[in-house]
Amino acid sequence: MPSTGNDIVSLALIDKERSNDSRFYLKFITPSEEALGRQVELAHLSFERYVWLCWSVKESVFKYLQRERPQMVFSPVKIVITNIIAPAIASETQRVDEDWEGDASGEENYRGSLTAEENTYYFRSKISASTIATIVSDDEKCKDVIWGISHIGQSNADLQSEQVRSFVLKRLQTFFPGKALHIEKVPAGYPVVMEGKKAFSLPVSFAHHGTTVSYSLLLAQPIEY
Amino acid sequence: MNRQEILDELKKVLAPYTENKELLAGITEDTNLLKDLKINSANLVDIIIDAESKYNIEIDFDSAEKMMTVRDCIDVIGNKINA
Repeated sequence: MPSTGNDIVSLALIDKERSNDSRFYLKFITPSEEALGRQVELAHLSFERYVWLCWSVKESVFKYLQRERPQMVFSPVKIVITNIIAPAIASETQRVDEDWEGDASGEENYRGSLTAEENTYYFRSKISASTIATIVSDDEKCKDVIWGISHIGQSNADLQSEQVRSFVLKRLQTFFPGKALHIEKVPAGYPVVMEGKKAFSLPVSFAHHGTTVSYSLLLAQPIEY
Repeated sequence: MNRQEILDELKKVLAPYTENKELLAGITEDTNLLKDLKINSANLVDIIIDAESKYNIEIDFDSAEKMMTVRDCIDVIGNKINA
């Protein structure tokens, strides 16, 4: 089943000391992932950022899988990151800290693979001064995934929810001008794009943390009206 | 500790991660940490670690992934305390 999943971590809200404590990170990072984080290629990335990169990847694939398995339980140690490649311009991307929307397939992102539920998935992550944002796809190039990251004024949960919906609906208007679209959340917890009472076959995923929100959309599917 | 005593301490564990203190004050065993209390999923591990310290227990992977409602949390914590 085609799907999409994304996550965002606000670095202002993480406890740096706790993030470096093995008692904390070994609750969701496997020994092989811990070793992966110590590799030379990721030396520019602080370990606490690596820890939260792993978290955002795992949360993203959970959201991806939740659409096809609504009863699935989030079990981060059963999701294993197997490979991470840093972008060639990693040091520059770390300074970028602005709202962003675009295609997820770019080489400017951290990218890698993971296994979950005996399948392989692929991710792209953007690490800025204030956030770590990730999308997951079943396509190695993350083709057809549209992604957006925005900074909002407040961290209120209702406002986060309202802002991320507004953000994605604005983007959808560029693909489907004139359509009166809205978002509903199914009982299993994932969002669905609707026109009136009809659901679009258009997987969408939301994330928010602190004063940041993000979405991912999979546009490859035929649209049902 | 009985279930009420575990719940009373659990409220203190959840407090730093719950924006709406009125919701926290009114929690029941059916309350879902993410959907009802609107705790961010990024704080779930913090809650596990804080609960371990608060109740002097160790919460393994299999138990941690069950802790989605207040009832689940009380069950897991109670079982660990009495193990």
